[in-house]
Amino acid sequence: MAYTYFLLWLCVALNTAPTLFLKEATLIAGDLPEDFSNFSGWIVDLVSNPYGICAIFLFILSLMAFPMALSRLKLSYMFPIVQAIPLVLTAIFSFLLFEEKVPWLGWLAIVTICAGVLLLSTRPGTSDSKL
Amino acid sequence: MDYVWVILAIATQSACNPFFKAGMLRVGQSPQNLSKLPRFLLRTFSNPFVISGVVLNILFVLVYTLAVASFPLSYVYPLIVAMPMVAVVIFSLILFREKVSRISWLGIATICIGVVLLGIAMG
Repeated sequence: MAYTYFLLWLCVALNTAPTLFLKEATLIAGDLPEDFSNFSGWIVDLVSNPYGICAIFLFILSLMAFPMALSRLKLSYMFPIVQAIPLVLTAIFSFLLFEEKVPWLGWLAIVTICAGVLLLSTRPGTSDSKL
Repeated sequence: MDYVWVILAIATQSACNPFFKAGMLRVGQSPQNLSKLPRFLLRTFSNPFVISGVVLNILFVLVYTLAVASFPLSYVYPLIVAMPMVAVVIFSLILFREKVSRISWLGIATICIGVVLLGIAMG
């Protein structure tokens, strides 16, 4: 059981971090090019900076952790938990790190989505680790 | 035009997890014994369903990157997370015969309200 929950929380962490690194990498690479001939250069700028490399590395780790956790938990139980917590974390970090302006209705929307995710994940009969 | 990346990201993300689940139902549970792990990973990543899931996930990363570059993270991230979640529960119901309770349907409705609110807020 402890191993199952370790995998679950590892997936939560690995679902939050890559997005933040990716956003920082896109900010360094700059705006998307208007025409596709400059597109490869933009991608090179994206994946050659340290934030892009970190994002890729963490994403590959999450690809390994997801199937391992899924083999021990129901998809409809695990998926909402792994997505709900990163939702709040990402909104907070977007505000703190990238100074994104989030209107009050935006916070209300994120909290509402989280409430929905929690309703989805706390129904009875899903806490067992059987497939 | 930029909205295409958001829509494609939602579609690929919705599809990949049901593929992983279908694959893992065939591969079986991950072992607690670390010495059995390489063999388990080999069996996992040679499964056609898991491979399909990985391909969809790679496509997702590409379109997700373009979506993240085009919009603020606090707007695009909840959208790309919440919409596939609703889709995955419906896939779990249809494909894997997992039971979906009334509370879950309430959760899905709440998520949808949240997504509409987000659309109005960031409009």
